[in-house]
Amino acid sequence: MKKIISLIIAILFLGTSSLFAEIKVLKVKGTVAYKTGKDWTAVSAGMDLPEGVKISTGANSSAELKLNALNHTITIKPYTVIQVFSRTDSKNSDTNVGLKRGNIIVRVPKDKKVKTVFKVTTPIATSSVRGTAEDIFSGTKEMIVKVLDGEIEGSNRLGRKKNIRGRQVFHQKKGEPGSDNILSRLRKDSIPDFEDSDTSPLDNKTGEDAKVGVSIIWYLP
Amino acid sequence: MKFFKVTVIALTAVFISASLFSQSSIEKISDIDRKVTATYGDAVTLFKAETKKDVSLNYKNDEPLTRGMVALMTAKYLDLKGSFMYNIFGSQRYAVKACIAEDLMDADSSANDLMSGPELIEVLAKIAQRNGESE
Repeated sequence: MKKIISLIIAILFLGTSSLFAEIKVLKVKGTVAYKTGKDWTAVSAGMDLPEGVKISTGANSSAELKLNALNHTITIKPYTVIQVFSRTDSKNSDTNVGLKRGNIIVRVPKDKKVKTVFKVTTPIATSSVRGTAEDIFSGTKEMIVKVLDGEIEGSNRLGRKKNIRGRQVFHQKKGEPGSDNILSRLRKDSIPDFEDSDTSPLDNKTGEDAKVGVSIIWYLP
Repeated sequence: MKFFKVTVIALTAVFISASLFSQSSIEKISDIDRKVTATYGDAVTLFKAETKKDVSLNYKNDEPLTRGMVALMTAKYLDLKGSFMYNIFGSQRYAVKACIAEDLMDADSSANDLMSGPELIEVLAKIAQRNGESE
């Protein structure tokens, strides 16, 4: 009887533990705190943080978080406020990072076996990251995305797309009209011809059949 | 035994003070973040924490913060050479142009614009980002 109860507890534990967030603090430099109720509490390396945690960094400060066993990481730069929602199990990984202000670097390695959704939402726009590394800055009037590794696909409200790679920079201004060419401020390559672009939503694809290093950026009205 | 007690008490005090420092520093930034118009004193506080240098100007701490003040502090700290006119005159107007040339401020900025707390923090975040890239 005891064995059966132990087995049931073990199964329940294994079944539910995979649904919990695994936000672990890898490194901390300077002043980094997380919000508990109304108060801010210091963050230290090795700490586990709860789902939905709000983290803030001060001057000359940074932190590195590991979100799951898939090695999805976030490096939080100075003067940044983020909120992290992350859930992962053996088949799905769903992360939503709210970047209120500041600068983060996200690294989302591709895993063919796990359907991955990783979104970074700022007050200006949302970036969906998969199989790539991006440096995302959120200011009062603009969002800037730099490609560090892999490839990003930028898309406007009309579904027109352009791949961005190789340390290129994407700007989205607040309140800027969803013009025909959301990528007009792309700094390097010329603006692409969208005539034959495929407009199927990449979010419905799994990590397996999505392109390596795909990210979708769209304008929020 | 006495040494052990003293060590434990000292470590606890260090931990608590570090925690309180962290809390107050983050809360200070949060307070500034909520301001519709920041003050010159807010800029001094943040620049001091970021730069560890004296980039202060001749203003009272409670004076409303303008973009020109922040541009001058930024140009002083980063030793910006981007604007020829700033190098000659060193005025707020040309400091703003130097900051625009360095992508630290918006192109439509002018020296007399009042700055909000979030805008001030954004400039500091861009300075930190720039410093991080040059490391």
